[in-house]
Amino acid sequence: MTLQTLLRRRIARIERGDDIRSSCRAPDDAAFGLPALDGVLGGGLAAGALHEFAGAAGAGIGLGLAAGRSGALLWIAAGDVFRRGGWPYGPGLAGLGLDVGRLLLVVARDAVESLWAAEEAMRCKAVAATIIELAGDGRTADLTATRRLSLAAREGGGLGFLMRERPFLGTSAAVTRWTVAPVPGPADGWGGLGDPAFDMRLTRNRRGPAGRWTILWRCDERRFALAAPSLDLAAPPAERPHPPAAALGWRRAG
Amino acid sequence: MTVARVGNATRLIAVDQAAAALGLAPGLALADAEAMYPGLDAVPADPGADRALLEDLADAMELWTPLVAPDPPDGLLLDITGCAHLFGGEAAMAGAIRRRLMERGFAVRLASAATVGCAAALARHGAEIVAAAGREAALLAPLPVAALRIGAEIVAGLRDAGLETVGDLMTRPRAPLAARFGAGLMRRLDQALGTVDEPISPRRPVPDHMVERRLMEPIQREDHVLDALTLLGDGLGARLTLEGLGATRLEAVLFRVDGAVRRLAIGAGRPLRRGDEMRRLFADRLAGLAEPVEAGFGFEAIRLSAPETRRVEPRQPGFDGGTAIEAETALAALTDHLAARLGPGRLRRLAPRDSHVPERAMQLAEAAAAPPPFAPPDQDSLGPARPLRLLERAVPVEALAEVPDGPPRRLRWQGEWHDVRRAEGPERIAPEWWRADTEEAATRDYFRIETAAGLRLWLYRDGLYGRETDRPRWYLHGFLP
Repeated sequence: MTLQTLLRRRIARIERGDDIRSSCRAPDDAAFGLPALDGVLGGGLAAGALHEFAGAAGAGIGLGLAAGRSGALLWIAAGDVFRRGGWPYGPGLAGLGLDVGRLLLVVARDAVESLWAAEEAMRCKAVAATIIELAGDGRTADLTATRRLSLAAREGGGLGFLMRERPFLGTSAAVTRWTVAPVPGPADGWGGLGDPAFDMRLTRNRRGPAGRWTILWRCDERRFALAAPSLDLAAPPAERPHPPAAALGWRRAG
Repeated sequence: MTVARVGNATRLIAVDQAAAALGLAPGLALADAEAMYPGLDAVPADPGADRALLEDLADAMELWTPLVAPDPPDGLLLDITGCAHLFGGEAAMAGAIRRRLMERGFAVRLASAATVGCAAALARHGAEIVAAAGREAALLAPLPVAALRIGAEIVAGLRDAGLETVGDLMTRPRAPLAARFGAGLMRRLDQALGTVDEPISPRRPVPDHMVERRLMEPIQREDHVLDALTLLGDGLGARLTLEGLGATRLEAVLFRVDGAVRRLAIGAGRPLRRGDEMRRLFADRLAGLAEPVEAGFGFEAIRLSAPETRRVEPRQPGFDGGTAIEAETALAALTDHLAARLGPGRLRRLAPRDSHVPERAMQLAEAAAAPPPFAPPDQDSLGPARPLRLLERAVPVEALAEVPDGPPRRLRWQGEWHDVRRAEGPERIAPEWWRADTEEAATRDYFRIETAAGLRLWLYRDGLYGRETDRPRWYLHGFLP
């Protein structure tokens, strides 16, 4: 970890109002285990913050990140989202290396009730990760709603994942915003499907620059890996959410 | 007045005061009554509504005692053992009940006695009094035999035998009476006299732990109701603590001034003892109700009971300083909170089931208990063998595939054609022939496919080509990571 990221994390902690001494604790951020990504994120996806994923593959990424953490896992969605998108499937989750006994599903009536339940779940210190899934672009989770979720996640200290089916064009208080799409994976040499691959586009990052990577989920090792011919680390300027002049923005909005 | 068909004639079932004043009585044929007084206002009897009204009244009577049993068609039995002193004695209690019922427009006959039979006999056929224990025989003797709650044919038979009053029965030898009219008659007599015990069977089980509060002024506001529940909860918790218990189910009964009764039930994953914890869950329940609790003119009494309790085992914190217990408690509080607000069946866990058919290998279980772990799927591929998400009902898709059992080449899903880039399969899954409802089901050939765009799907062909069907259909069943 570079000195820069360490200092940056410390500043973030001070801004959050934590004790400076507590910043000496081991970071409990959710790392991908990939230096290229984790460096940009300042060590991994920040715990106690909200992260937003657009695209149906987002839930799988969230589960992969949460699998190794201890504590309960809540998956919240409206009943018709589960019915349309499929129910989380125990044998498949177990194959991912997830302890399914830790997973609790909350079947809400609609998006508003999902948001309420997610806020309550994120506020709970015993919950390691909360996944809330919204249909369509999830416009119910606007700036106010995501701000509430962020505050709840900060209070609880767990990972907050907001999954949208499609990218939402409005503003959001999430610390990072991703667009995830599955891409053809590399051949496994036996004519089979092999490891799944995802195009991860980081469109907003309060801790650093945006970027775009192609990552694999290594099924046998149960970890993420960078696909061999990686795309450029930094996104082309057009994809940056802010011009460099607005770099101070992430600090102010903390 | 109400009428119904009895045998071949339409007869009066019940009459109001005006009709009674004219000399009309239940049992009279409607034709005769109309001959005497043309233009009578008669409506058909509705026994179902009568029964429902009696149940409502029984609910309202729970204000006085939890042991209430309806005595159809028009009676209510209340076991007031140990309750009367709370209301200033039996006479005062009887007066209060009578006043309450008359306010609602009922004609009341009320009697209290040491046995159910005696009280019922007095209320229907005798004097409306509070009878002292031991005087049953003297009070019953002058009453007609019908007072003993026996069938009409037995009453008629007794009358033919010249036995008009209960006193007549008591003086006769028992054996011939029992031989002629059945043992039921003697049992009713013994029950009324108190030589045979007759318990009241309450409509709902009476919980072991119960507290209640009568309010000086009716309360209407939700937070006042919750305040009262908090106080009651503390009282209930103190009692439970003495026994080493905690409540895992709670029921609050709200008695409205006009006699309506509302019940609120909550469940808790961890045993509760504190009023503020209970308050929080009741507040969630109230907020999550589809139709709000109408306060009307207010609630006059609130009862809180714990129908289910669990032993609270004291736990010793581990070397981690109790963080494990703390986390467990925090999670239990969260699940209770969510369950109380969202209602039953909204919190689920995934539980394995012993089946090789994909959709039957998992069930959505209640969240209360942690389910056993899933066995990881047989790994016959370097990729994930089972989908991350399974559709509740497999979606039919159009597919072009090699016959007889090749993988799909192209498929149409949600109106779009997808080229299949890679495929794994088939994995042949036969239906469970031992289950009656799968007789029609065909063998499925499952394929894991990756489309040109990178989408990974779990598809199956329904039916073996040539053997089970000539035109096998394709279904999408799940999404692989």
